[in-house]
Amino acid sequence: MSLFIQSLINGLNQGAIYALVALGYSMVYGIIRMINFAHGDFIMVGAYTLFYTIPLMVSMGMPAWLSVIIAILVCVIIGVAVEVIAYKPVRGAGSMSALITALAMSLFLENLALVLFGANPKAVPEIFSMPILNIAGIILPSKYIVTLIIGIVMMSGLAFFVKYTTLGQAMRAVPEDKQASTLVGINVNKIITVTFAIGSGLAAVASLMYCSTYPRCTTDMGSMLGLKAFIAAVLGGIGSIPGAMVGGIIVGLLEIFVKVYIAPGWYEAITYGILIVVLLVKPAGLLGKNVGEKV
Amino acid sequence: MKKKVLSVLLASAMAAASLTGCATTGGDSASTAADTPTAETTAADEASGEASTEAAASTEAPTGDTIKIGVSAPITGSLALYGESGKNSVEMAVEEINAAGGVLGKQLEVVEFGDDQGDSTQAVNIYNKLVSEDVVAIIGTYTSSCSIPMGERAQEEGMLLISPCATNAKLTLIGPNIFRACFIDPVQGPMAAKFAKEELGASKAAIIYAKDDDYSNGLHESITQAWADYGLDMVYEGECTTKDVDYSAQASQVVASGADVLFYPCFLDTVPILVQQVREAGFTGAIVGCDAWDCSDTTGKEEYFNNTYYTNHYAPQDPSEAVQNFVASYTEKYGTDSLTSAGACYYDATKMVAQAIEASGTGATADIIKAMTGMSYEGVTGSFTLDENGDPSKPITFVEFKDGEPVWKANVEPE
Repeated sequence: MSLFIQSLINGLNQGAIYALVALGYSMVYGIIRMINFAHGDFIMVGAYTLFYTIPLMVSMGMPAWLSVIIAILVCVIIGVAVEVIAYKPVRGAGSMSALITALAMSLFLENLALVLFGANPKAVPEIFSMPILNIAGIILPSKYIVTLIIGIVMMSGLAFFVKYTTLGQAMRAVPEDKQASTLVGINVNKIITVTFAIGSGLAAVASLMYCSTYPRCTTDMGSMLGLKAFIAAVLGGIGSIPGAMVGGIIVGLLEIFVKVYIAPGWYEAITYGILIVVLLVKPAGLLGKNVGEKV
Repeated sequence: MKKKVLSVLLASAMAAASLTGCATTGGDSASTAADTPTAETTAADEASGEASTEAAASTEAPTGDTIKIGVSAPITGSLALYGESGKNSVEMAVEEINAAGGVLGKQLEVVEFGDDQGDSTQAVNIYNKLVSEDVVAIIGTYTSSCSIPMGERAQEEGMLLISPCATNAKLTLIGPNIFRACFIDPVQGPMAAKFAKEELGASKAAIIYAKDDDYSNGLHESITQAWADYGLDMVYEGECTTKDVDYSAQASQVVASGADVLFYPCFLDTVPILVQQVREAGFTGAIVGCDAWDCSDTTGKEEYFNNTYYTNHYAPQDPSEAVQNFVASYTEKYGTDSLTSAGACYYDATKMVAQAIEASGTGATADIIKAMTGMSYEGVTGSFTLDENGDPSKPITFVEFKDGEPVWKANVEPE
């Protein structure tokens, strides 16, 4: 029984990290109907920023997690630059061009990092030195709770922002009808840039949580993490913000439970097999709306 | 118009790339053919590809002023620390050999330090490249997963391959052209098990191993076998992959299984993450690793690393003269940051090759292979005679982490 609860805790923690990454995917997709495959690599950028800035923060006597502010800035700059330089010029060329550009961007960022930082994995210093709770034999590191809370706060904040602020309303209007949005005075390009800025900022926060649990960064860390988070976003219903959260948690829980109770070596195959079944039954994802493509 | 120019450029670039590709392949088979008089007639028949498989070891003594050898190591990638160390050590060994007069009156020359990145595809590319540069022997490479495909090619083409650090038993079973400078997993694994039983007093063991890696699988097999032979319980066997970062599921099961020792026969880049997660999950027993643990990064996790041990090829604290000389000259040239046991093995492998070239009398690959078969050697990682497979039998070093620092415990002769 305690193994079950322990797995639940471990799964929730891993799921919360996937959810934070999936939020970024879902949000960008929700607004501009484009899958930003480079999102996972923004996490890598964030992680390397943390690796280099945490020692600076600590030497200035500030808490290590404050580095996330610098990481957010760096990620936002990179995210917006990628959008303006690579995505904007191909926006009119159809979704396939956008997809290929995003994949190319992902490879570009990974290889750029390889040149800049070298291939050696870097050990990220400890971010939260918080106690590990032991409740009747069940281990609960308090950073797990922080991860989950940050995930929920990010999700609700984002949901609120998109629903109630003017900028958020404009964001929802753009995917409905670009031309009509322009007619009512929305600067579509500006909205898309803002979307990327927020998405990249989220990636920086996700990298903070990732590094607090798995304190290591490699140049290819973004690709697998990004892929899993993308699957989580699709499972939850891509474009839906609560869906990303639900999808992430489900993928995290599934992975851990498959590892513990079924076959550890098969966890990826089994987890994603289950996902395929779910998508067969519910093609739009768990919380997604089934909207037909506009022609 | 702009687009057209671009596409023409791209197309020509691709054409050029494929042409170079062809050129290299052609060069390869040409050089193999040149090495082997018997293959000359079939060389024209390139499509058959038989030329390389039928090739025997070169019996021609190398011409030119130098005797060329090739080296492969994971110079970049997750094992870069070992690769760098290996490269430095080979450089150092070659300098020492040449300063003492070289081999067969000629200077020994490393034509290239190939970077296999710990990737088996890359390793075969490096092999091809080295062979095309007329080397008489190849030292390489660090991992078993990379050395085995290189060894298969070397055996087919009559090249001599000596791996400094690949401990998987399968490597030297490929054929008589393949040697190694280190102990093998069927020795290392049982010794680790014996250590856990006798020195640590463990009775219930758990193991986590990477199922996508030859080295880890080999050790998993030999450790569990040895543990079963003692009649002791292996209470948990968990799998992971070399790319994993999350071990929380395995860690919680290790704790739930009530094991008092955990074996983790995997590479150094994952060691700190595993140790941290297993300790955070509440495991207080000993963790026993293997030679790929050498120089794991313990920064910030010193506490967690207490009560962890690993088997190794040598320990820099060993007072023997050979070890101290190696440590002193390495430190003087390159500092201590990259002073690893992989370096010591590359150093020994280089010296072994030099000794065999000298003994061959001609410097032809076939003669070097003859000279190396069953050779006796005294070096940094011990004194030994190669057995009929080309494997040394030598002492295993046990190292313990104390407050994040590796501390030499003992050298134990295998049974």
